[in-house]
Amino acid sequence: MIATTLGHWALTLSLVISIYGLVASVLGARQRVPELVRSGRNAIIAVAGLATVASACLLFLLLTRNYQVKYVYDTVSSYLPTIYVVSAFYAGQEGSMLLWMWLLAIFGAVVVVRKRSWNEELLPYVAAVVAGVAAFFALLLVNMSSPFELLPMNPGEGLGLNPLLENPGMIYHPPTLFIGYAAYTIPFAYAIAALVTGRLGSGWVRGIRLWSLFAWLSLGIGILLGAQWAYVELGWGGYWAWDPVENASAIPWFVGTAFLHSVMMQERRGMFKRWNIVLATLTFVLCVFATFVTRSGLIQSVHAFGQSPLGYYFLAFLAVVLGLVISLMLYRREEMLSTRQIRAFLSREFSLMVAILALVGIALAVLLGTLYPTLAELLTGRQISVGTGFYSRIFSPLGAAAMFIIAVCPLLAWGQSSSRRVLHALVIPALVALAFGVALLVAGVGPGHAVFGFSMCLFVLVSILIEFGRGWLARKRMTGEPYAVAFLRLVNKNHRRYGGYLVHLAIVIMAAGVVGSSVYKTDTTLSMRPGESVPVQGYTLQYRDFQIQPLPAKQRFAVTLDVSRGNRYLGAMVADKNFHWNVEQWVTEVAIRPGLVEDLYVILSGLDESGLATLAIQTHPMVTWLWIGGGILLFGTAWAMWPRSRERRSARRTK
Amino acid sequence: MATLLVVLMILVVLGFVGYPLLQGIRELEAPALPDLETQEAYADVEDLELDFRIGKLDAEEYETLRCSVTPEADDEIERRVRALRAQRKQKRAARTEAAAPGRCAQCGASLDPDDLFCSRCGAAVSQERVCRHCGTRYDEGDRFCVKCGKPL
Repeated sequence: MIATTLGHWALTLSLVISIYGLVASVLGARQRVPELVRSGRNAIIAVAGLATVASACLLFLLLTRNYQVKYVYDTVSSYLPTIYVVSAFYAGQEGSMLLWMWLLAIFGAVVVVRKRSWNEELLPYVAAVVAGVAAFFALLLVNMSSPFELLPMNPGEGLGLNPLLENPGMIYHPPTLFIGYAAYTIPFAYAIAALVTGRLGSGWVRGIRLWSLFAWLSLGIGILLGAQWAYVELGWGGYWAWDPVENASAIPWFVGTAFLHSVMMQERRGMFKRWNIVLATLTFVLCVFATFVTRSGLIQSVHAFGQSPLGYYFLAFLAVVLGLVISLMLYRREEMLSTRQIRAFLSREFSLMVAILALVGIALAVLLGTLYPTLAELLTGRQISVGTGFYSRIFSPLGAAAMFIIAVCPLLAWGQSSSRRVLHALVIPALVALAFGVALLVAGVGPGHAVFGFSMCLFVLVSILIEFGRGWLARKRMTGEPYAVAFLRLVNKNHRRYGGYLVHLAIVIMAAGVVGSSVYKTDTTLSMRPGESVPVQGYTLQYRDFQIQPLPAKQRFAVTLDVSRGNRYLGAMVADKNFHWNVEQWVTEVAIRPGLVEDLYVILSGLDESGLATLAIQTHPMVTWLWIGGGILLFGTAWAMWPRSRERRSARRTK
Repeated sequence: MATLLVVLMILVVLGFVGYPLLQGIRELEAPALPDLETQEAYADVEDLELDFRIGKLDAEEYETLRCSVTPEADDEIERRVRALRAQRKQKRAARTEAAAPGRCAQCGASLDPDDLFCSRCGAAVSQERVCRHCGTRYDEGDRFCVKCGKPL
């Protein structure tokens, strides 16, 4: 078979070439041999090309449904829609690793091709690190989990994708996450390059600004898409269940958020050089960890370690990375001292430091909770599970602290601020939040911690809006421009500041959604016969009809309900529950009526021949706020990444 | 067929990666460090300025921070201003030279008093009456310059 041979050889060759690229780049840079450096650069581009060839081969095998290839047999079947055949590319461990490597090689190629004068000296080492990581993945792909492995004969039909994965979420969620994971290799590569060359100033930080924002955004959006997917598929416990696979993707995001903020400290203040190296490394390592956790089942059970050597490869990789970083940091410990110190508590430096600590704290707590069952099983042999209670106890106080810092930090100036001024700036948000909280309590909305959560969100929201307003008025006063012009010019002159504020705004909106949806969720289980009408949570549900229907891939059970509120007819909702033949498994398709205040969420639990249906009717308040916040997050980050006109001009000049 | 493709792929990759080794490249260009520090210093000053205008800092705090935090920026801005001034001076000098009396304002070639167009670049000669020795304006009918006394 041409495609398997070609794919296999492309991977083998990319292993050889990436090892060569690593050696050539390092030797070339150390001995100052430009030919070798250039050749190492070409090696990265060649690996990107080879990984593309291998990916194209796998895609071709999937699309032509060549079941003799084990990976295709495992993930595709003849009645799987084509779009999910494409998504089967990353449904298994082999394909995921290929996708990782492909994205990494592409990003690496973009970095080496788009060179700038200030990173000339760093670049060979960046290329070397990218080549090294690519070599690791190529080694795994060639040596132990090849997507091109053949079965002894062609089975004629494949097992197919797990029906739970047949959801639009499968198309968007994994690739977005993987883009984030792979992109975090670039900041790590720059960190190593900075350590090796000793150029620990702001040059390397500058090289990764866009990359770290891009990776952070992809990871964040990927997580949200996953949450949305979990929300619409039943049995995964709403949008977030703190399960190990979800946690694994959230941990690097928290550390990455801390990294974004500590980078700012180095760029503007020459501080936190060590933190930046550590956080860049941690984020990268956690991204690789997340990939392994998701695809190898390492965390669910320690036994997975024994079953495949993948875990040992990962541990070896981890040891190499950490050993390298720690020894380089020891070697460069003198150069990493800060040029400035934090001078005052009421300064942006100090509040950023607290924010970074809080974020790393959250990440560590989640990591601990995720690993604890595995470690406990390893040590004591007993199975323990860490429930949602642990996470909410950890997360609520740290989250509230983080929110408070979001409100205060932008009010503080670099260097120092006077307490009078800061208090003055906080008076209005605090009064508004207090009034809101009291009003909620008087109106009988409880419980106390939810009211506190909402008030906190409002406090932050008002302080961000005031911050926008003050900048706006200041600009208006300074320039005398009309209001609209002044506003647009203000946010356009300072993309990073105002993009950042927008992201903070998005976080606040999402936090309010989290508080609302976790506190006020309602759940009613009832049985209905066709034609019956039942009032639930202010809605009236009228059972219209039902369907029991055999389809090629599944047996379909469906109930149609007419929903109205008061006298207003809201529409029909169809709740499905299907039995899939190939995996002999029930999959529930929830009916959701989204709204700003609350989503109506109908689960079909059972349906018999007579039409007697057992339904779970739930309301999920404010879940939509999460998705709205996600949209603002996307926009705000894109705004912060957008180059300013001066940077665009200077980029043109240097060309 | 498969073997052929694999061999072709190997050859292309080896050629691409090995080519720079055969080619020989001049010594690595010394990295020209652009005004990275300047840009950061600018950003510092801009931020301070905005914080001051917004009222996060009072005048005194602003001044201390402005001096302590951004001497680099100040130096840099001063240097730039000086450079710009020098540039402007040069330009002005060039322009006045070009517009010297008796010379074409466009290209600086010398003109005869009654030329309507420059003999070198073809630009129309200004019809304004100006003494070609000292550049002072004169009225129609004047025969000597009121400033230098030379015949017009």
